[in-house]
Amino acid sequence: MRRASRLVPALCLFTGEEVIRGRYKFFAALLSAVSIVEILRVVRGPPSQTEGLGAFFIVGLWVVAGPLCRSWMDEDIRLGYAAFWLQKPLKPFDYYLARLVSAVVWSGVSAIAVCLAALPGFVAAGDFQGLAHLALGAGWIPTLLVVLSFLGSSLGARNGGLFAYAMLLVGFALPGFADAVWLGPGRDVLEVIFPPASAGLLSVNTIRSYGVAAGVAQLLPIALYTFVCAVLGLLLALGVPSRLMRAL
Amino acid sequence: MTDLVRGPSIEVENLRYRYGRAKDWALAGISLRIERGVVLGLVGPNGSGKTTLLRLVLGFARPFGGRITIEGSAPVAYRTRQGIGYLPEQVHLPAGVRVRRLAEFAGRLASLDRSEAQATTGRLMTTLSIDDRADEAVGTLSHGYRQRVGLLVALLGDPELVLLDEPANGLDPESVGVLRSVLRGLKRQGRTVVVSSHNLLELERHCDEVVILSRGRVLGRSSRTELLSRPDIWIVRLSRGSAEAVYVQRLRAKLRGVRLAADEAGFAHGRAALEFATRARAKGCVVEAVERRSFDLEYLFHSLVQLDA
Repeated sequence: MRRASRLVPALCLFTGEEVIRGRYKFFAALLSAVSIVEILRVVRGPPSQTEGLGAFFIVGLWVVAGPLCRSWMDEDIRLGYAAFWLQKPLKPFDYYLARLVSAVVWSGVSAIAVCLAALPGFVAAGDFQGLAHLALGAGWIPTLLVVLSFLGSSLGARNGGLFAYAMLLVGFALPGFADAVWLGPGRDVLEVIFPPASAGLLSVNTIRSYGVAAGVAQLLPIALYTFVCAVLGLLLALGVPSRLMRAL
Repeated sequence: MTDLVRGPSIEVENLRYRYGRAKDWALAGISLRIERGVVLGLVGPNGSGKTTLLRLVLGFARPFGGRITIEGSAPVAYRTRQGIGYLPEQVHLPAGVRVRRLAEFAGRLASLDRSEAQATTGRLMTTLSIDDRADEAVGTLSHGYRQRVGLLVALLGDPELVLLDEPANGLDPESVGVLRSVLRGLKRQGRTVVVSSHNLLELERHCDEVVILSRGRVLGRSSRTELLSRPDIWIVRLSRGSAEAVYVQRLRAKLRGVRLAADEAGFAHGRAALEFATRARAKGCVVEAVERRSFDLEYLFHSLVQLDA
């Protein structure tokens, strides 16, 4: 654990260079789009625009995490990068824990960047508090996507991003299956497998209506789900050397 | 051999390994000891088990039978404590990262602090002649330069055991020169180096010992001194059909000749070789050549592998 924590700054820089440096145009375009569209909505639309602003803000959160949703572990094994990392004096668990933490740090940074990009629009609408509520209630989206892609890659998914987005989408769609009798007990199983994403988003309204504490309490299942996915991914990371042996 | 010996010794005992449900053993009971500070060359045809042996020394998998110890420790324990420099046969590194950042990152993985990682990276980049490419992305580099970056990553952290898997594969003469100087440096510093290669001349020149593998077994082992001190050998080369004749085998045994390959017999003295050639001709065999040549690694390798086949 201590070794992993010492590796995190180096891995943050490395991940930043690997992911952000080559895609600065993408991030600049995305953040500019969020900023411009939010301001245009306020300038051109009716006085109360918070709902519309919120929807676009959340779309921004979905998109900004895309480049971070990489198949880290699968790439390490399939392309043999891990042969270079794991020859050093460290355990696979420490390395992948640091890797995951650095990706989570970047997901937080990307969520903050979207908040900052959306800020002028919300300030213009006179609803600064609304942005704070949205950030608190929906800011978990990039982190969950990153953790899901990590889990997907540890399970051998070649496209961790696709895996993560599919999981999150199904998580959002799952409450629609509430009346699906044909699923039977299968629905309970699906509820465990897929993220409780809708419940997570409901917290935005709860924060507005009942306060921060109640809203944060509503976020606990999604936090627990994210934690369990991370632990599962890390446990699978222990097998990276033997998978590398077969793959190289 | 250098006075300063830093590298560990490696003990391999009856090592067996196979991939998945493969019928054949990739390693079928290999035993060998590598002394501290020795540069050992592994040579063998494709599929002979060289790469598998290196990966097992790295501790990437558990053998099916037998054991490996590095300085008395299991490979995983040694690697996680000391680190092992390893250059795989295929060097794949993240394409979008600059060489300097990659190297500094590898240095941090090797427990160096930031300033140490930067200093070591700078020094090694000069040694490997890649300092002019330090700020280029890895993906834009040629094969030779990528191989050097791989070597740079492997050597960061000052590992005392270095494993190089076909390091000279597809390299231009300049990169081969860099590799040679790195090997000489490692040898001078007393590290244990295991290098697998198809370039027998390079191995003969740089390795203290050479182990010949075939079909997952050790066929032979020779030190550099032994190879250099072996007297020349006389070879009689017969056409294929003649070599298979029972008569030839008997005659070879009678004249104390060694069967070096399916169609070759080797003799310590020229007289015996000529006598063999004359008698073989008299019996209708086609003698293609009688020649004298040095008993070098290339000859040893071909003889042992062909005999094994």
